[in-house]
Amino acid sequence: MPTAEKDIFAVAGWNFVAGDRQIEGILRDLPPGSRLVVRNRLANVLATLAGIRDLGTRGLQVYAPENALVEPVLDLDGRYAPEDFHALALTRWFGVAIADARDAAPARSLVLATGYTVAHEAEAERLAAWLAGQPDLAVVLLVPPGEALAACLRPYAAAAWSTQHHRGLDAFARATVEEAVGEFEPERVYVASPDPDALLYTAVGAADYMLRSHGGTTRDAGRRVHALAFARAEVPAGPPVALRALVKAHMQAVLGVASTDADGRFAASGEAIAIDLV
Amino acid sequence: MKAYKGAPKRWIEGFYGGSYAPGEDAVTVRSPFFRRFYGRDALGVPNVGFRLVNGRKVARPLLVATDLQPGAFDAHGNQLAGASNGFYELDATREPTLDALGMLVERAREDGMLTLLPGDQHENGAYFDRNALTTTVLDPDLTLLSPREQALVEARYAAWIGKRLPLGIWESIFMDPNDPLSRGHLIGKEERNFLPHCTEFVVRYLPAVEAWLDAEREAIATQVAGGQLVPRASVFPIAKDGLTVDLPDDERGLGGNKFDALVNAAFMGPYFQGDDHRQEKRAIVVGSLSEYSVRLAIEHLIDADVTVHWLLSCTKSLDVFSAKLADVHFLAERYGKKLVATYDWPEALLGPKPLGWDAARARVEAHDRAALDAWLPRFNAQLASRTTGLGSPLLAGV
Repeated sequence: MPTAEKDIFAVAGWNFVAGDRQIEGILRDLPPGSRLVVRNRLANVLATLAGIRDLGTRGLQVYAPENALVEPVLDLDGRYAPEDFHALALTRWFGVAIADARDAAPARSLVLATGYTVAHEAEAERLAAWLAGQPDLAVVLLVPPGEALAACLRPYAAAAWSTQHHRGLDAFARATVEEAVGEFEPERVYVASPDPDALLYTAVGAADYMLRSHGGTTRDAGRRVHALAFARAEVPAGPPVALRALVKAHMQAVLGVASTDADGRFAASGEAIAIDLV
Repeated sequence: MKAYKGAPKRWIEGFYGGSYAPGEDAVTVRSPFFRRFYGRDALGVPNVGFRLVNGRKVARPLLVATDLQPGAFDAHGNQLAGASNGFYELDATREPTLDALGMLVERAREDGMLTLLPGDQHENGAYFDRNALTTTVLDPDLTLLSPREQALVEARYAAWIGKRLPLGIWESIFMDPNDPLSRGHLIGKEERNFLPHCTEFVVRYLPAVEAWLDAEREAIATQVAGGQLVPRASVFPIAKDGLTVDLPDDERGLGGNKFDALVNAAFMGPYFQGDDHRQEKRAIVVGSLSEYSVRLAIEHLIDADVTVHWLLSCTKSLDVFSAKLADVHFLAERYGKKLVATYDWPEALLGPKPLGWDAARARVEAHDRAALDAWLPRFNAQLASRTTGLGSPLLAGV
C-alpha cells in the first residue's frame, strides 16, 4: 500500500526521472525486488516508464494499473494501426514534429542520431542522404558500447559535435549527451534512430531538454524537436486496434511493465505523474 | 521505505575505485576541453594498467602533472603581454626542475602512462560572448541592488527587470567603472586576489607536453577513422579555474572538469579494492606550484584513498611565501601514511632511472635546500612578530 509520506518534486517535462537527478538517486537506491506503481497522465507515465527502464536498475517491478491512468488528449477506445502508434504519440501527446527527407535544418540546429550501427545500414543510408544536404548542422552520433557506427555515417564522425556510447530508449537522459547538446545551445533538435522506440523517447527527452533550456510550455518545447521518422525501421503493419490495447502492449513489451491490470488500491491523482514505492 | 541511510561515502572500497562491470575496459569521460586538443569531447579512459613484477601483477601509477604551463618573461622577470602566461621558464638554467620534469614526461609518453594534466584556464575577456544569457534574473525588488546599480537599472535597464541578463548588460550593471581593479570590466577571482596568469586561449602547455598531445591527437583520429566513436586515450588535458584541481559537476551531473571522473576511471576494473588490492591505488604528483595546486592535488588524491608519491625533483615552487621542503613537512605531518615524498626516481613505479637524472635531481635538491635556508629565518621572524611575509598582521583585531 502506498505510504502517506511524499517526496514532492517540482519538475517540468515529461520524464519525471530525468527532471531531477535526486529522483534517479531514490530509484537507484531501492533494494532489488522493489515495486513501483507509476500513474496519472498517460503521456507523462510513458515517458517516465522509459526513464525508469533506462536506469537499468535490476529487479525493479514496475506496474501501471490502467485504472490509475488519465488520458485527456486521445480516445483510448479509438482504433489505430500499430504502425501509426509512434507517430501518433510523437505528434499528439508530445507535440513533436515529424520531419520529412526534404526538410532543411534552420540555423543553430543539431541532429542527435542514436543507434545507427552496422546492423542498420539501410536506415543509416537514408539519414546520410539527408545529412548531405544539411552542411551547417551540428551532428551528435551515439552507438551502444562495443558496436561500430554504420559505414555511411563514418565521414560525419570526425567533425561531429559529439560522439558517444549510449544504450537505452532516451539518449537525452544521459548527462554527457545533455551536456554536449547544451554547449551547442540549439534552437532546434532533430532526432534520428533506426529503432522507433528510441526515436520516440529520445525525441521526448529532447523536448524535455528544450523545456529546461528555453522555458515556455511543453507544446512550445515539442515544436523545437523534429523526428526524422524516414530514417527509422518500419514497424510491422497490422489491423487497427483500440489505442488502449496498443498502449498496453507497448508498456509491457518495450517499457518492461510487469502488469497494467487494474488495482483498486491506486487511483489517478491531480499531479501529472506519481510514483508509488510499494 | 524512506529513512536517512547516511551520507554517501564516496571513498568506500567498491563504491569508488575498483567498481567494475564485466566487459568494460574503459570508462567514457566527456569534457569540452578535450575538444580543444583532440577535436572531440568523449574519450575512453582505461585504468592505469598493470605490469608483471617477479610474476606478480603490480598496478602502474597514475601521473598527475598539474599546471605544466610556460610563461614568457622579459629580462626583468615580467610577463610578456599576449604570450603564454604560465609559471614555467623555458630556460633550464632559470628553471631548476625543467630537466627532471622533461625526463618524466618522456618516460610517461613512451610507456603510455595514464596521465592527467590539469592546467589553469582563467578568464579571457576577448572570448566572452556578451550576448550570451547569464543565470542572473534582475529581481523586481531593486532595493536589493546597491545604490549605484539601482540608479543604472532605473536609468537604462528597466526593461530587463524579471528577465535573465545577457552578459554585456550584467557587466554594465554589476562591474563598477570606478573600481580600481575591474574598471568596469569582468575580472575573475584569480586576477583580483592573486595576479593575472594562465589566460585561456593564451596559455600553452610546455612544448614537450604539447608534442605529446599532438601525437595523441593523431592516434585518436586514427581510431575515429576506423569507426571507433569513443576513442581511447591515455593522456588528458583538464581545465581548472583556481587552486582546486577538481571542479565538480552541477546537480544534473553537468559542467565539471571531470578530474574526479578521470581518477575514478584510473582505478576501475580488477582490482583496486579490499585489503589485498587497495595499496595499488598510487599516483605520482608533479608540476606547479608546490605551495598551491600541487599541494591541493595531493590532498585531494589522499582523500580519495590514493597513495601519493610526490616527486619533488619535478615540482616547481614559487619560493616566495614558502619553501618546498616546508610544504613537504606540512603534508607529511598530516598525511604520513599516504604520502611518499622523494627526489629520487621511483624505479619500482617507473622503471630504470633515465640517463642524466642524478645530475638533474641534484640541481633541484640544492636549489630547494637553499630556498629553505633563506626562507626559514624569515618564517621564524614572521611568526615571532605575528606578521605575514608582506608585513601585514597575522591576526585580525590585534
